[in-house]
Amino acid sequence: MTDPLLCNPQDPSRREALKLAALGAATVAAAGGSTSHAEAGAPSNPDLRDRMGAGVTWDKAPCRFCGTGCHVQVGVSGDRVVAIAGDTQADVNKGLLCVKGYHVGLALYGEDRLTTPLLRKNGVQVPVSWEEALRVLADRVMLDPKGFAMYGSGQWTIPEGYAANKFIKGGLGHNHIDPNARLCMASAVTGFLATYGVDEPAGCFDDLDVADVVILWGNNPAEMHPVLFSRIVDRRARGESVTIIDIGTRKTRSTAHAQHFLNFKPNSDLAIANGIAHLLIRNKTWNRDFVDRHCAFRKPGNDAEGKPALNGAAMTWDEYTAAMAEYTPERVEALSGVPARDIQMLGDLFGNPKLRITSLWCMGANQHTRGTAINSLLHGIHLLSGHFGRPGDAPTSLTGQPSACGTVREVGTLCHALPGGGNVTKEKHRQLTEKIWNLPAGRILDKPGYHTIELWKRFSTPKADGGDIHTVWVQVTNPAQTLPNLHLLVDPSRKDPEKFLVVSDVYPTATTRIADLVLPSAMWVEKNGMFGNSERRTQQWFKMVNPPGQARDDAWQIIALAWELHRRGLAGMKDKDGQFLFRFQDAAGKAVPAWAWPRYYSVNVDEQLFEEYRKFTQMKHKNLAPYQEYVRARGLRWPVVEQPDGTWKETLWRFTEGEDPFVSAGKGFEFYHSTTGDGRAQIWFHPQEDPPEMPDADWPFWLCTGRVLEHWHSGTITGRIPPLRRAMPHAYVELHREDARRLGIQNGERVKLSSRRGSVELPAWIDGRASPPPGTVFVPFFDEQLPINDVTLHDHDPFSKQPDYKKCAVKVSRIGR
Amino acid sequence: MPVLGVVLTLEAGPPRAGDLIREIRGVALVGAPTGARLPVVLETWERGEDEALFDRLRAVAGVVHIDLVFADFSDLGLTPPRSVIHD
Ligand code: SF4
Repeated sequence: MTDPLLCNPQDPSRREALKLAALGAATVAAAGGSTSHAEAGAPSNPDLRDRMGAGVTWDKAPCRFCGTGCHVQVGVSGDRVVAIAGDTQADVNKGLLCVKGYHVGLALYGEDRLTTPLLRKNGVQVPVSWEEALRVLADRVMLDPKGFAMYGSGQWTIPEGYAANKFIKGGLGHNHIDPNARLCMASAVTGFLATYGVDEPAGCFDDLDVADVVILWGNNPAEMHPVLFSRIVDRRARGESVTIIDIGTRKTRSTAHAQHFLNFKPNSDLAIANGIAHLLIRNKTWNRDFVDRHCAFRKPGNDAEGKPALNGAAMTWDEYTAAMAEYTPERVEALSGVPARDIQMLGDLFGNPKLRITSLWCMGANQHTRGTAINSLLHGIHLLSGHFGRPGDAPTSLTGQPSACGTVREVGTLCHALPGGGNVTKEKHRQLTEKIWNLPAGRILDKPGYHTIELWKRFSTPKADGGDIHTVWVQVTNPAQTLPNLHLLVDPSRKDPEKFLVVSDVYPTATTRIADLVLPSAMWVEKNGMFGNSERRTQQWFKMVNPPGQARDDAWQIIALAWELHRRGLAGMKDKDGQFLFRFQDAAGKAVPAWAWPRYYSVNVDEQLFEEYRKFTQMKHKNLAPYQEYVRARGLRWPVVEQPDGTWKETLWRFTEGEDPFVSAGKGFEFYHSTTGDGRAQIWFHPQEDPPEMPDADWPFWLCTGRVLEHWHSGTITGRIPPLRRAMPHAYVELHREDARRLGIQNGERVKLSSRRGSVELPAWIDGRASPPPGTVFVPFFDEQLPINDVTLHDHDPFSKQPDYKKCAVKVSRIGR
Repeated sequence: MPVLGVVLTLEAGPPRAGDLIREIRGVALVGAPTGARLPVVLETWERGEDEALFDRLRAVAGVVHIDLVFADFSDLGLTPPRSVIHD
């Protein structure tokens, strides 16, 4: 039977049905969505089911793009996604989506999907079979397993990241695996660890519904987390009062909604945070009770070998107040350019216990050579003032990618990490991992692998000079566009015949183009998946359509390679009982060879990997529920703990009695992973210091790089969605009007932007979407044709190893039309 | 994009934003508001028209914000993706 919705798009009756479906969806979303629980996966808005007819089936999935983690309803007909609606049952977005989210279905249908493995032969990429591709991949491992590294992603699903982690750390017995999330949130991790002894935010998005004041620290959520931002500004439309303070280095779309814009000089955010602490002390408005009971003080310090230690050194209250004494409003004004009266305003706000204050930050604080320091200081001012742990009072770092939290931070795909918050340097954590993976003792190496910058440096260094990484397998990311200083980290490897680059992706990218082997991947609802968003929310979805051609799941690719290595007798692919590392069973307990593609979906591989992973999550109180609970829910925020009646309860506010099940009765608050072992969080002092590179006479401008609303990271996906590409077709350099006038640059003219590392030519945009102050330029990084990372700096934070994409010195010269 | 469902957030106490919106070409249906939120259906026949339509909506006095909640793109061509070989 033909479905009336799918025969003739211009059929008037079909149009009417669609319009009514759209109106139904919009009406439910306008009413704030439904909070009742529907049957698993069913469309939350009955209108969609009724109006669009039986030919369209609906199921839930998180959006493919940002860390907000909105849920969408995906309409499928004839093995094709045909419609997208916001999911009105999702707490995160209550039916709303941003421009990227509502185009997410089109992400699958760019014309040039990769559909067959490609192997470079005589300099040309030619199609090969999956069997040949896996053989080549296995040959590279067998060459020297210790030199075979993986570079993954915060867009890996949780089971994919888990499989990759187990393959490298449990199978190959080394730790050379790191994700692109190193480039976006590693400083948030070290900030949380240094402060609370455990990663990820204590608060959640519900804070934004009740906060009186929301402070954006170098953050532009109107473009980067749009639905989250509309959750704040919608409150004003409802007549609620919420003050938004934008502390930034340039005016953005978020600034347009803010009551206060505090324009600070790049890198001086530490001075501002210290200025707030100074005023809390000076005005005696710090929260004595909270601090006395729950906090201790910390300053930078070295470990036994004399190297800077993440946990620094203890300091007394007197030492802390003495250190903060110099950060008077006047001195902070001199350091940051923010007027002293605005610093005083911030001090007064934090000093007012009646207000509820939420701080939001993302790349501005993380992509920073002092990233760990500024993250720790932001937590510190919330702790010192007691603006912590009550609804609306929260220091909240946002993640850019949909599963930077779930797959990177929780599954532990960073080079020092183990699943569930473990660390390879800790014997207890290695032992637990070896127990759960049934490995012989000692299989997990006690030394961290190479972090992203080091990994790519080693790959781009000849073997004879210490370049011990011979092969990198990249999945779900595009490092040849997104790594900083590409001339140093990527280009040399392409001239060295001993180096081999493997890339699994869905579309051609700057990285697939230079790869030796390209593997076509399934994406989003072409496979089962799970993500973990910025508020500790674990989400699940099912495969809804088939991937094109021979594209296959990333997790399958890993398991299939592991099986090929097992077949060849590589010892690491066996557990201590001689069994293959990745074993799957059907409901009757019979083994299923999921490494064979035709059998991959005979079992739910995701569910079995997740149930194994779940065993790790109790160690750091990041408890997860069984997989089937996530099938029923629009995500659950961990820790998720089983109740006496058998239901599973999520946690909105960690470390707060009555909310967090692991806080002891009578404590009020308890930081149960405290680095000092006494239930206390650490309030840090870090001095303001200059960045490694600053403008001077030769390189007179600050360069800041970042994202734009329409494009997802390197534009691989969104560049293939026509409305998004049309809306933002190419990169540009944003200039202040005065600088443009001085240099004789007209709007739209080509300019050359150069740094000590490289140059790029871009059209100028004056008075565009955002406006940088004089002496600053901004360039988005989504455009493969205009690669700004030829220019950026690879200097990084000493603890998080996260590079600073937000600050380097450049010169700007006019080329003309 | 032929049919879109959107929610407009209007300033508290909108003057006549609802009426003005109804008159815009491409606005197919206007639903009942909930508080400051107005459900609206947009209908366009040409790809690319939706952007101009959004600009027109944003320009209406009293419209604070536009959220998209529904999109149908079943009219897009069903051509299978072609394989790509580089170099
Ligand atoms: S805000 Fe983020 S998660 Fe939500 S629809 Fe937009 S891109 Fe997707």
